Amino acid sequence: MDKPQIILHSQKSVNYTVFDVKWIPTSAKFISLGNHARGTGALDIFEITHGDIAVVSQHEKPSAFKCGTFGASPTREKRHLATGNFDGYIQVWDLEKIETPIYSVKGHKEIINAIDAVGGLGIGQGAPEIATASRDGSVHIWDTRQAHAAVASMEPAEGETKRDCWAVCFGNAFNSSERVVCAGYDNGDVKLFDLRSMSLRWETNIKNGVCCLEFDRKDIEMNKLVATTLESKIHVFDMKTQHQEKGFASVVEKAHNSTVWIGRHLPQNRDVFMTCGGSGSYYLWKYNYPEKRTMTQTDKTEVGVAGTLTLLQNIGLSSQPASAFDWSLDKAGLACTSAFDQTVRVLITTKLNSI
Amino acid sequence: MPVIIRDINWEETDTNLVLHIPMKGAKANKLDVLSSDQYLKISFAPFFYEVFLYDLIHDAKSRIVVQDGFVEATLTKQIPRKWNQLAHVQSDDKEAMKSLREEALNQIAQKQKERIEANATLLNDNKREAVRQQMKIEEEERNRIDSIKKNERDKISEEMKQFEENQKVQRKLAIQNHIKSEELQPQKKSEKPEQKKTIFEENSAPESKVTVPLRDTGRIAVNFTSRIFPTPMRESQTDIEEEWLRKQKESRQAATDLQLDLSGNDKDIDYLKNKANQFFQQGNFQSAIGVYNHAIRVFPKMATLYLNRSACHFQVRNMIKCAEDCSRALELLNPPVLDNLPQRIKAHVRRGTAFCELELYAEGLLDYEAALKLSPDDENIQKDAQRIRNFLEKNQDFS
Repeated sequence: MDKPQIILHSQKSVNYTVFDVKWIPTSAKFISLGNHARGTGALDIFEITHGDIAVVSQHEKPSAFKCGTFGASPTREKRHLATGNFDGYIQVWDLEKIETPIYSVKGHKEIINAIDAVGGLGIGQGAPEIATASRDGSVHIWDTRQAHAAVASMEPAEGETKRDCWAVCFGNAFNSSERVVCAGYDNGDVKLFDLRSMSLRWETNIKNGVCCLEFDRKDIEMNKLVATTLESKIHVFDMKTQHQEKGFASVVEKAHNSTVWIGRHLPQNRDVFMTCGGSGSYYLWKYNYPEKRTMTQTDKTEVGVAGTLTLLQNIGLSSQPASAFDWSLDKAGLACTSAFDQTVRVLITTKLNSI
Repeated sequence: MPVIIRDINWEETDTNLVLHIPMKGAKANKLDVLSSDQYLKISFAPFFYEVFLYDLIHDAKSRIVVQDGFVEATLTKQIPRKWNQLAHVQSDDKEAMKSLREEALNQIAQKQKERIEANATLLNDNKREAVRQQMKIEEEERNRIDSIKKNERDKISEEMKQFEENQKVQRKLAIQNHIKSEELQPQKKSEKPEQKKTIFEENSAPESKVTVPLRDTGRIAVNFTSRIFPTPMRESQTDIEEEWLRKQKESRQAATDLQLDLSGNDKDIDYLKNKANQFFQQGNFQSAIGVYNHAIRVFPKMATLYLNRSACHFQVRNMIKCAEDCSRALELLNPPVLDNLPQRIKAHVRRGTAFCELELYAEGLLDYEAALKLSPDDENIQKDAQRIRNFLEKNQDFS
């Protein structure tokens, strides 16, 4: 029994569909974002007390929420939550004064599918920025100091039929000028945009709609990128070496026997990540680096070598897909998750230091 | 023909009886023996020996050994005493013998049955015992795993309690510090970074007072891997989708390629119109569309071509394309003069019908009324327009 164990610590039923859960930095509390049956948005704050989940406060907003992040919160004490909702509005809320948002703009014409932020909470160098991906095929980058207009946009070209953008994530923010944004679309496209040079750095098509993208760390030079897709596939790209034609090396794993909705790296160990599937299962993976991460080809160019994935542990918790998963930054192995069976759960993974 | 052996050599003691039965060439595995408490029958083709014993014997304790040329039966008496004769008193009485024989056979059958039953129950018991053992082992394994898990869980509840406490404490301190620093800000500006450092070891970098400049607005135009279907891409569906696309393309090709040998006459408008008409009469609407497509490429401003093509589209139920072609025809039929009146009426009626087929009844009605305006005496148009009005009124109540 030396393998890490995933243990369900507690769970709570709510009466709305939960789309996202996030830990509130420096606390034993987490928020859940969702959609009431009457079409309004739910923003609840939960706390872990006495081995159980207790509701601290419940808020209802006019429009249903789809996703949220604390990543652009200026400090760890000032908790600013950036959310995307079903009407295409991106809003930033101060949890101390939650009645009105401190920033609100109708950033997209359709639902905001995914949101990510970097530069806040002491993670990532440079200005705090928020990236949103929407059904209208565009990715916008927002800075709370500039109202009404995005600071950067990746939009479909003229005359191009738009594809749903399902996933977005920041990376490579190791100094104040470097930053990349990676976007995943429903037709299997993965595109890497460099924000310093404002150009497309790499693109590929992984043959299945991309549900989730995450770099192993946002604040270091790009190391690994996990892409989870439909048809039970998980791709891990080695982002250290880019080849002119071949792009980045990758390893593909098939798991969950259903859509893999989420992939999240452990903040305390960047080679361990959890994937959550449409069958309500959670798989804990470890990435093993190959002996040599680069290979020189006959024409003297370098190409990356992908490693392997080992499954450390798995657990099935519900019969419905997992809609969100978030590791806690303060306690290794503590995670909160939600599923479409209208429950939020707190999980603890043990023996992570033995990996 | 059996050879019945009557007289044999035999010896007895108080407890045992030994019979020597001569059976030439007897083999142990080919010997047929039937024995009970008081009856013994040995047969080895063609030899046959049976005897009703004087007294009872222990059937289970007796033995039969096959020697060279004869069979030796060692029988253990139930009551140890000398018999002085081997056979039963009534041995010569045929009737008695018959009944005794039957009795003996029954007894043997009974014993057999009992033996089988005993075996069966023994087997069952063993099986059940095995299953019970297996279940016990599995139970133990499960319990072991459960206890390990429970240990982990208990350990974790402890850790979680610690964690909750820590967080609360830290938060309180943070708020206090925040308040303190806000009050004493002008004087204690320099001390603030150090205070923060001691409490939040993770946040090693002091709060930066230098704000990073806003990014210059930029835009990147994105091109997508083309996909005809609006649904997300799935590997398992690619084959089916490609199959569907191929079939669509083929059917379109087939329809137009078939009799489209327009090489000599492709600029002759009358020829083209006749050809298309022919196809229409034959019911080959796709080919007619093909011809009209070609004709329109050559004569893009001829309204009749669009009008006729709209009729073909109507026949193949492409209502949207039909409506489009009618609209294009109407555009080209400007200025509205008497000459093109019948054509305009046709275009309006056809477009109205197309809209109704698409369930856009309000638009359809508009077209019918336009047609009526152009030709107020046409009864058919009047009837159809009235029908649409009634239908719309009925549906208004529902919406």
